[in-house]
Amino acid sequence: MYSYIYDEFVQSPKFKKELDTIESRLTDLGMSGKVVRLALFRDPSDIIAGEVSRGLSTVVAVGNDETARRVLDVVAEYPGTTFGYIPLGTPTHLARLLGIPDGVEACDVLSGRIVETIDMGVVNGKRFLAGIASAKFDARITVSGFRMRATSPGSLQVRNLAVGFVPSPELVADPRDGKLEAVLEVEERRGWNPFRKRRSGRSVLPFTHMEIDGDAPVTIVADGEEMTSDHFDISVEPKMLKVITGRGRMF
Amino acid sequence: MAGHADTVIALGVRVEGDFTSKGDVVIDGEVTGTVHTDASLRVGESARIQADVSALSAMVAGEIHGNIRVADRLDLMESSRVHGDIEAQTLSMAPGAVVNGRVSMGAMEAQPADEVEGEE
Repeated sequence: MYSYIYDEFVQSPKFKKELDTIESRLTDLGMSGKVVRLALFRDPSDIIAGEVSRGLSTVVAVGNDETARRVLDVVAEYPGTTFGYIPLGTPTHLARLLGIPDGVEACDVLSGRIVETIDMGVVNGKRFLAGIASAKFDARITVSGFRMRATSPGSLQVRNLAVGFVPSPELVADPRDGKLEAVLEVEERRGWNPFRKRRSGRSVLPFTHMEIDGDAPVTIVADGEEMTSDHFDISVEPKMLKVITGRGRMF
Repeated sequence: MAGHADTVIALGVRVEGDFTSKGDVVIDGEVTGTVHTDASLRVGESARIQADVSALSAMVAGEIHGNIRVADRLDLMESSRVHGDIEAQTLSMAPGAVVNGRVSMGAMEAQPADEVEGEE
């Protein structure tokens, strides 16, 4: 049984034609189901929880990456429930990673039903699917047994899948390996000559649990949501989510 | 230097403590403490290590202050500087490489499994 969660913005006239085409295609494929429309003050968690308790097996987010993130957060709470995604609007980077085309073509991917069970990350108790980014990162990283710090401020990414737009599959982590991947990029000028070219270093560290401690509050963006704290606890929840992917998925 | 290593400690990063891994490791930054990997280790020219190092195999082009224990093959490149004892099954040393310490080669006793910690 399918349930389709429509984000508020896809209910605008701009998307009406495309939404009609999608609904028609889903009917042709025998995949029509209950439609739930999100509204400004309507919390998706209560709606999805109610649907799942009535025996729902697949919850499909219809909207952009923000819609997907809101739905994922709830679906992950219910083992056995599968997550699907029909991308409409922007941004839809997550759809690219999962190999799901925009609009009506996503219906055929849902119908193909290639289901992968993937890990999810957790930062300060909040789940994320794609990853974490921090643009001006200057804090101490602790992973079991050792501490790590850049000698000058850099940028940090923590990937379960990847962060933002990804031009090539080499930059995508495997979300089925039970680990997250930290990528710390630092530029360092060697010597005192100001015209000397900076050398950049890119450290890569797979981990299952990490702590970040800053002397000052650190700002991170986890799946598009900004968080600021002087301490972050990041871990992986292996095999947490069943997700429908396309053949063109990047992992 | 990076290649397809599982873990890379790049230039501009300092690590302190007991660093252990089950996969390939590349170090171009600074490490203080101990370093252990069940797979191969590559120490780049810019690396500065103050630690006892153990690995299945290793290629060293940087500076290590500490003992090196390699179960299989150890390659010391011409820019390498080792201040400590070396144990390896096979040792290759380029002209210009510096070793200040004892060197022993040949059959090594297998390290007990319980001494090797999990990844991270």
